[in-house]
Amino acid sequence: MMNCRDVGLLMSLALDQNLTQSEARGLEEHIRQCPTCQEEWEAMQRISRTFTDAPLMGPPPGFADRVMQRLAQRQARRQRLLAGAALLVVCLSLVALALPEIVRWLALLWQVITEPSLLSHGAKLTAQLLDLAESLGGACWLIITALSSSLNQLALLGYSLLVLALTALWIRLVAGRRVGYRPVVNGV
Amino acid sequence: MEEEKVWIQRALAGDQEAFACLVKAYQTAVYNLAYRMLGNAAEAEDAAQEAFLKAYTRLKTYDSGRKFSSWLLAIASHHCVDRLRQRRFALSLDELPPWRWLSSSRRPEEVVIRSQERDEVRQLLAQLPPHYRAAVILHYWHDLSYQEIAEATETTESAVKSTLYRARRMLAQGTQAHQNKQMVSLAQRAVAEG
Repeated sequence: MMNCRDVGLLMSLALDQNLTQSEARGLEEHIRQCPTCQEEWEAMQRISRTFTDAPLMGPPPGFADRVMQRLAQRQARRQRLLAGAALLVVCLSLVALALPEIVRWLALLWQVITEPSLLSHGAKLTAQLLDLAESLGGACWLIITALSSSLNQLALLGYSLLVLALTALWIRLVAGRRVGYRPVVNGV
Repeated sequence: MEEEKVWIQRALAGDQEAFACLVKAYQTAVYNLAYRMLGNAAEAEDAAQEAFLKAYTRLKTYDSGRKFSSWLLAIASHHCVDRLRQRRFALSLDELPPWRWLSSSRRPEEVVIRSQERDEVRQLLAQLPPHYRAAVILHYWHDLSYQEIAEATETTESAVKSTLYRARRMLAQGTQAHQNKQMVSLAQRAVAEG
């Protein structure tokens, strides 16, 4: 004779027609003799019927179109993010190249600001700014000459095109940010 | 099936029209799973859309030796389970006890109409923890075998059998407990009325 604990699992398997003949006989015999299990079996059968009779729920009309629209939006956003990240890296690299000069310039500016008389140093400041501009120009020239000497002309051309493309992309991104992402849900 | 394989190959190559064909072919299955899991049409639509988007981004991980529907339903099922776990308040005020519709002592006017049937199913499913609910839905509405449910829910076949048994028992005991309570209440009233 089976115990009630074993019978519970068999009831569940019986609902899925997954019992051997001997198991089915054992279950039937136990249920006939055990009112508690009989009640549970009837309740399980009732619940199982409720689920079996319930239909498959279809989505509202236009669902597939909304999925594809959302996919397109998400891909566009992803591309914008990737392009933005690439531009950020490029900008940071350029800033890093000019960083020593910027620091020097800031140090000079700080020195001037902390002087008691600003006017007396006006001429000096102008000269220093000119020096700075010359240094920045020199830095850019050095970068260009370094690139042209270390890379071949084809690579240099590629680099220039990349910079141009990234700039164009940046302009497009800034213009394209008018419309943000909105989840696409049917008005249910 | 051959057509489905072609759609998958084309979608893998970036053809969105092919992926749209897959969406159309499986939209009912995925939406039904989400609806039964979440019990709410608007949330089900959002979850079903998300499931398809996840499927698109993970399409490279699809093993062609497996049924595409099972793979897709596994993604949708995981997504819905995650959503349910994120819900702070599991029960809303309109979630009535499931046994209300199962009571054998139903009054004649309580004829079960279609909307009530949906409520009955929704309320029964709402009683189950998320992973029990997923197994029950995949079993009853999507005809997945124990093995397929095990793959979808990342567990074993015997664990699926056990989950289905526990879910059914939980629901059965819930209805029985309510019926017993009703009988005690009726008996007490009869004694009080002499």
